[in-house]
Amino acid sequence: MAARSPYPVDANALRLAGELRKRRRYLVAKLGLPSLACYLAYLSLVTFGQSFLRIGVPGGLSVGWVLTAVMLLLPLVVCALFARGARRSLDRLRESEAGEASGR
Amino acid sequence: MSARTAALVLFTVLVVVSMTLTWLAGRRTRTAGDFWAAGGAISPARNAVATLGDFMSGSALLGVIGLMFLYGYDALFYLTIPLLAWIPVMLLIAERLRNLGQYTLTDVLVRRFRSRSLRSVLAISTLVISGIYLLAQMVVIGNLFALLSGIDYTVAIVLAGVIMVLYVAIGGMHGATVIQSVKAVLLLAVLAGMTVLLVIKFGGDIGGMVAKAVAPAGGTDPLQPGNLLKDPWNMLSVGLAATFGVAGLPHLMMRFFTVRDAVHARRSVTMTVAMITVASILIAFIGLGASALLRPETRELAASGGNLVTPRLAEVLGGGSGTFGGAVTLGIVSAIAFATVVAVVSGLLVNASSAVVRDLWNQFDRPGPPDREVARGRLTSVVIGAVVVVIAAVLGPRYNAAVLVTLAFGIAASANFPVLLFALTWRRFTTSGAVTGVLSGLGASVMLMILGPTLWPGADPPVNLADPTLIALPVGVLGCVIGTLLSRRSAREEFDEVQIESELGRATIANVTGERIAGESGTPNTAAN
Repeated sequence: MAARSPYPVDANALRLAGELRKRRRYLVAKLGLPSLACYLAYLSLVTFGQSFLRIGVPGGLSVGWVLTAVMLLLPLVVCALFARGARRSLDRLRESEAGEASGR
Repeated sequence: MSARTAALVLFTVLVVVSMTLTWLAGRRTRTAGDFWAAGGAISPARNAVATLGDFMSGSALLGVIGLMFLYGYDALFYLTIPLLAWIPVMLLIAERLRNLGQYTLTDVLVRRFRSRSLRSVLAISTLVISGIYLLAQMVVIGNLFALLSGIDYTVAIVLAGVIMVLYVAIGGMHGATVIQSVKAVLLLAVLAGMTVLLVIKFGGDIGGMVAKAVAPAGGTDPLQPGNLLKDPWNMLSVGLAATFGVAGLPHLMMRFFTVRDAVHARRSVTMTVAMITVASILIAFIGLGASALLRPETRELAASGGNLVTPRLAEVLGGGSGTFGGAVTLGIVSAIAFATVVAVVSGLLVNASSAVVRDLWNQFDRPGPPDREVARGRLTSVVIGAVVVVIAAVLGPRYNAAVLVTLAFGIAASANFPVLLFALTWRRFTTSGAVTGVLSGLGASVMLMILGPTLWPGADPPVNLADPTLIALPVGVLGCVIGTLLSRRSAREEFDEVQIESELGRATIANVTGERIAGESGTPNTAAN
């Protein structure tokens, strides 16, 4: 069974964790909410809007195939943007705090 | 050279080479941390390749292409939704999981509640999920090996069982990572190779191939949705399973613990998603190619649940039955598909063994020196491997692998996901809530799965929902909520502590507070238990 955590929850850690959480929430909201909207729209269309997906597009395919192609690429775009944002926003803060602490 | 000989020779070469690599990697296994999580020493790129290997099993290479051939558009659902599930994994889970965990998903959940009963029910849930997933892979192996060698389906899965147990017993997580990486590269190479052969076959006229592929045949219009999952509620259920199941799959989440820290976990996810996207697009293209070329053989190929469409397509692309080219391409694809499945099975076996040893056995009997836990891991792998082989032999070859894997996703979504989410986000959440949530989600999903059309032996199943998630996921969530509200409020400090540690990781906390973490040795979480 796990033992108690070996570190003290001190003011520095609390402050840094709070700031990181705030920044992460912003990033997650900025990328997650549009992704969620896309996901819900896709799931709704696939389950209850199949007549819309059957509409033909030039090239012999249908709206459904085009929509699926877009949804296949969406996770890659979102993850890449999140990774970039996290590098700029979260990692830099962690590094600067660690640098300050080693200076102390 | 016949197709069978070519395939068997190639398969033997693959097994010997990968077994050697596994043995070499396994020599680094000294401690339990090495055996279960490769000592946190895997680079993000290697981990991403191995995760692709874990994620894209035989069900993707054989099952989804088979479904695409048999049912057209609906099969795309099995590609897009699991891929979309990586968005919440990246945004909400990967880094926090790495910061909190040690070897398994259970470690993360128990990190907050420190409860033996929770550890035990999570171990049971992990065993059930890994067991269904293992069964799906064994069905593919049995079909493939019977096709290649002409031997009986049962003998084929026994042989595959021996090979998978050897991989894990020799190499542990180091070994599983090596063969997953090799297999993932081979998988991508096969997909790319078949795509090129398809383009050559149609003289570069991709539009012509697509037009031929989507031409309605035998009363089924492959262009349109609704051929496989006719009921929209079924489709919604599969969608929910695939979306929330990924984050609840213990063998996938375990991959985050094999990298050094949360930043590496994030990098690993980005690379994994990129590779899965490429593989998914290639699989969809090959599925269309199969529809264009193999339509006259629909009845024969449907008899194996569509699992043999990919090898048959490879044979046609190589020149057809009876030609040397056809034999070689069939041999290559079958051997790699076989190796793919064995590799996935190895990862699953590490995970299932870890649940038994770390979460059940070690609770009742302390392992003592680290090498004793490794020995227990090896013994448990053998036992679980034997049990799965027996069940797969009893079930027989008629199931589509992708459909079975989706059932495993459904159980993971219903039993594990709600608890993981609440443990990370809900302050009021209690141990009783977590235990009730896992048990109710697990019980509901297994019950509905057994009574549903996929596993029910008769023609008229009591439940008509192909996947249990639509009902079982809300049951799991309700179990968490009701169990929590009816129990005593847990200490607020523990939630705060988990929040801080999930955000910072123990290494960062040590830097910021100037504290030295006991047992810290490059892998930030090795001292949590």
